[in-house]
Amino acid sequence: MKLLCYWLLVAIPLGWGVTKSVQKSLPLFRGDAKPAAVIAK
Amino acid sequence: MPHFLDRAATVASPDFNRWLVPPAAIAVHMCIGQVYGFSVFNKPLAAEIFNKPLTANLAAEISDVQWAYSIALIMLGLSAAVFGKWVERSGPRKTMVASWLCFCGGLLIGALGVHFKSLALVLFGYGFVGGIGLGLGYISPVSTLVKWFPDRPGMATGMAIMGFGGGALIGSPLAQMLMDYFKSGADTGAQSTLIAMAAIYTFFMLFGATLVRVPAEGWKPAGWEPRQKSGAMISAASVPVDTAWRTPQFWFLWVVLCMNVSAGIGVLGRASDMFQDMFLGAGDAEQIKANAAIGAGFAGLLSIFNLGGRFVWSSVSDKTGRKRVYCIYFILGAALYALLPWAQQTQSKVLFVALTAVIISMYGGGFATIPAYLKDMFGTYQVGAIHGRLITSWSMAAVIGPLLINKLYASRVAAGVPKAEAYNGTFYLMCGLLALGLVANLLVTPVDAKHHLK
Repeated sequence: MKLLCYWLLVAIPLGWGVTKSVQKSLPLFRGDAKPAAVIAK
Repeated sequence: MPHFLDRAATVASPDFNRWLVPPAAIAVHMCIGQVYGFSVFNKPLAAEIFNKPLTANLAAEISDVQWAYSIALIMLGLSAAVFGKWVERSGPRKTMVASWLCFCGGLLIGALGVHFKSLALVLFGYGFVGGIGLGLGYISPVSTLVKWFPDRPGMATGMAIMGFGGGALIGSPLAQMLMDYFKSGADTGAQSTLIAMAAIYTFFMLFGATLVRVPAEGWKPAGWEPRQKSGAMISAASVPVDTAWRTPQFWFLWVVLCMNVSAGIGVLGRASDMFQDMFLGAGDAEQIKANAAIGAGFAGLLSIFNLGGRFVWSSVSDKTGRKRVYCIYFILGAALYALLPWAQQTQSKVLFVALTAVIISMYGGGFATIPAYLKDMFGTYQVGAIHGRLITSWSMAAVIGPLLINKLYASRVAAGVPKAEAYNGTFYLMCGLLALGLVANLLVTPVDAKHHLK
């Protein structure tokens, strides 16, 4: 139990940081960007 | 110093669970990893110190403020190299407390600098004092972890160094959230945020310092026996730091880390711009804003792979051996870099993202595997101090990686190469750096027995 609590104490902030990064990376997977080649033409 | 901080007070009782040590190490590393998220303070600090509104053009002021970050990283390398032997003598708890005093003290001095609108105080506090805290904190758990996990040193140190990578993912949004909460009128909230972060990090760093333990002399995991094969790449003997850094093995490993980091940091530092230049076209203001969000998304994704790679690859190294895993980093890394221009030419964003994600995971892996490689070569005796001296290669790589990629990119653009294709030359340059790293890695052999501690 003590072991689990101590691990959670570091896992929760780390998980929060990863979640924030995943949220930040979401625009990468949306298809609203025009490709460079199309615009160059 | 009170007895509580002494190494002797941290010797574990026989029933101590060694799995309590990694959270202690991660707690410290995830605090000091905040340094990688410093850029979030650039604009607010520039506005506060130079008494300008946040909406003003602050480019010159920001480059002055950014010195705090550069000084902090320089001090990280220097303090790790200089204080390594003291860290080994004093034990992890005293070192973690010293790291806390410097790092959180640096944040508070920085806050004072904001209050008095003194750039010098910010540079001294966050950069100089805080940077010493970074160096001490970075190497503090290394030798403790390899002593607790002689059967899995790669995984153990990988977890701590993963925490450092995680610190950046936490530090940046946390600072932004706090500044949003504290800001009012002309106050950007930077001063209160630095104080609040010092308080939050105090909790986690002291938690780590309280929890950490060193194993009793002669302790080993139940059922585990060290391998004693002569000439093997894992030595049971120990080499003191003052001898280790005079051996060719130390300098080959110095080059290994330097090349691995240079090749990764060059891409990481420009990830957002690179993706926009290579795959996204310019357009109206709205399109530029959308592109910036996509570029930031790419950088965010790479940071997750950087984090994951630290744990996964260093754990893999426990199975494959350190020399072999670095061969994978260098050979696979160079092959993937060589494919990037093709991904650009075919405008395959998915392929580009996948290739760079693997590359950056190996960059993180290189960072995380090096303490275990040092332990294999030089033993556990002063591995933290040896790691401290090797970290100077990181400082060197932090300079040459971005410098090489920026110079080559600028020269290609100046020569009339379209921006979308201007990075291709830099990718081949990265292949060259990785090839140099591979040669250095192949030259690593067991340390001559004459250097072993008698």
